[in-house]
Amino acid sequence: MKVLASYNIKGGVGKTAAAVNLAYLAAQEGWRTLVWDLDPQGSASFYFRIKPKVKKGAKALLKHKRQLADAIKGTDFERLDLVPADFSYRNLDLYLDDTKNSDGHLGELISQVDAEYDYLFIDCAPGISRVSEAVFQAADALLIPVIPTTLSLRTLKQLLRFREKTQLSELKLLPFFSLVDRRKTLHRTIIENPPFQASLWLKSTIPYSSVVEQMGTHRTPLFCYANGDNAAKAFLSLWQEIEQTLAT
Amino acid sequence: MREKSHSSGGCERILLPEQGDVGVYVDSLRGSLSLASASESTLRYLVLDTFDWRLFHNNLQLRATKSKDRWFLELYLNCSGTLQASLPVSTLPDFVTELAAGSLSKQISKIVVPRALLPVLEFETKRLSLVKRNAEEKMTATLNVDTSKVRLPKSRIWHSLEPCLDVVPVRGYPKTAKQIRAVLKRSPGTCVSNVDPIDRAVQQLDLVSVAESNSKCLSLTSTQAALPAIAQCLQHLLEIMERNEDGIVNRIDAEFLHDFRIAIRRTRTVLSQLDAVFPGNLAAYETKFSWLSELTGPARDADVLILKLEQFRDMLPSELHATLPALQEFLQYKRHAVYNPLIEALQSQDYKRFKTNWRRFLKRCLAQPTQPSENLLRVSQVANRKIWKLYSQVVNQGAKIEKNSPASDYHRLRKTAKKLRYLMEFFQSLYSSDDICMLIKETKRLQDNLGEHQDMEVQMSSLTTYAKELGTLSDKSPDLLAALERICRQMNKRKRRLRNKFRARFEHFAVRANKKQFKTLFHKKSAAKNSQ
Repeated sequence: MKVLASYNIKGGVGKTAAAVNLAYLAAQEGWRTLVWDLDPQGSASFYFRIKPKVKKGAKALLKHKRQLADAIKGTDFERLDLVPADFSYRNLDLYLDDTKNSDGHLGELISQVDAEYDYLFIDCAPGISRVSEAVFQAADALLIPVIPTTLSLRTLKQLLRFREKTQLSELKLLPFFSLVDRRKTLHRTIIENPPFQASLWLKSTIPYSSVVEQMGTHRTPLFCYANGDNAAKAFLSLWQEIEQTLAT
Repeated sequence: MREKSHSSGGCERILLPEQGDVGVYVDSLRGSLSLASASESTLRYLVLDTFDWRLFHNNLQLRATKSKDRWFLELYLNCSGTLQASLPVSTLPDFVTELAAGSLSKQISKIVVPRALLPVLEFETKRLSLVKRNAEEKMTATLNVDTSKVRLPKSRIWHSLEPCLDVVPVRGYPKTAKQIRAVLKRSPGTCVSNVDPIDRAVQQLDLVSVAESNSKCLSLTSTQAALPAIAQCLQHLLEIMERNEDGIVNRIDAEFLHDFRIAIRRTRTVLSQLDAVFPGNLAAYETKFSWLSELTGPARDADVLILKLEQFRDMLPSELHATLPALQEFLQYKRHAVYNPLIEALQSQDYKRFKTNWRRFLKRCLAQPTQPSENLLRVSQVANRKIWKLYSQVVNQGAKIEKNSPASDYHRLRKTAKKLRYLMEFFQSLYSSDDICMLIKETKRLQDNLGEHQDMEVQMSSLTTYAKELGTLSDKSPDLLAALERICRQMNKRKRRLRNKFRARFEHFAVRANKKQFKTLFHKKSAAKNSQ
């Protein structure tokens, strides 16, 4: 099972939209796919119309009192399941602090469903915390939506530094530009001259689009109501590029 | 548009009332169960399996669904319909080894290899899906109304299956499906079926016999006259030969030739060991079967070398791994050369005539009285006598073999042990299942050692010949020659280890307890004497 975490230190960059839509595409392609909504806000769960509730909460999962598989809910789509969010996830840092091998603990939990799925997409909460570090340990790659703005780029720089310090060199970072508004000069300039190494960036970009925002009203992946829209095409191109990158 | 959940269903499917309109029935269900939006779809998929239905026998179903320019392979647990693994591929694989490493290939490799994957059934299902939603408009169960038809891949004729209802729970929401099932079961005229559509198709298309294993034994009774009983078994072996001919001619996989050869070997064992039972002279048939055996031998040896390529990799240091594609290509070229005369022979008039004559002969034997008279032996008498004789031969030959005995001595013992096993399997149904299975197993353990020893002999000899042949080429590859030499050295080591292990293996076979068991089952006179 490949573990992909949709992550950024900054909030509001399109992490959930990326996790939900890319997971949908993976499942459509024939892969058995699981989304873990690790953000206590529960947006991914909301998009799939699944109650953001894990029986007995995050603590029971971390203490192995409940199996991760027992928390899984089927979505309305073939081959696509979800571990819902739970408000108790806000305390995940504390629970992890209480456990031995806290960084590897999430990976141990995930390994319980390793044989059942081909892909796991983790929708992470913003910020950098003990939970984020545990995600970095468990993930094969981080999908990092970045808005082409100064502040958003700054958080990517923080993450790159953090990776260097913590010797996570094997963790693949897959940043891509998100919520791109080509009418804005700053967005255009940054995309044309991406900072850091140009090779770091995925080529596909996700445009700023009202149809993506409408996921909240439709409560379903973008492809179910705007399949032909440019934003849908952009997510498809992004997914194809991610698959290619992971294969190399 | 909402789609169907893949989550696992139960074993139960509900068959609709035989009388009445499906549409009207479904409409009534929609109302009574408050089922929301419906969608109609047509599912078309191929079921892939081996020629001998190995996945089916292991309760698995591999479906291939075409979608635009690619195929989805999905592995289901039969009956429960649980999805075990899935994999998108650009073309349908002929062999599991062509699939990317992953869950799917891992789950089926052990079952399927070395057989080819073939389309064995084609399904077309018209599906009406009704869904149950909760207050959040989230789907919590699906009710599929399936009207399916099925056909063999090359056939034009579709066979309709009875319409059925399948309640598919969504993972994490088990109660809804349970409630719907309860209502459906109470509904007048419906009945619960635990049979998966593939089982129904296999029954309806009378594929049961095809799906049976080639090695399945025929049932004999000890009081039957020997001749028709043995002829019945030989007829079964002829059917196995014929069933495998197409696979050999079309070079589908190596197992067709393997099964074909085993049927020939078993037949030859019967002809040589039980010749006294048959009327007239069997020499002409024996000659023909011997000819077939000789004809298939080089082709089987070539197949085995190709099947061993992965093991060769393990025998080589990593710097010589690069020679393997060239070795594979050379072995395939050699295989091609030895298959050609075999295929020609199997398509020849001579072979067809021989089979016709052999079938006629067996038919005459089958027409003999089935009850033994004074002149006719009972099948159990013949079996006991021959098996005991072969067992004694194995013990005598084995006792004389030492670590440094020539390979021909090992081979002679191997052939005798094989004859012994074949006869025991041939007459298996005449004896208590536990007793004879134990003795077959013991014989097989001895044979495994001898068989592998002989395989090493044959393969080393082939590879040495090939190395000489390659050595004469102007563009010879020194690395490839080094690789062949290395493989032969490793095989020689293995051969020595097998010889070292032989004594212990043989003593285990010839142990007093086994002898007693052989005596009790097959040497009735002395067993009776001892018990007095």
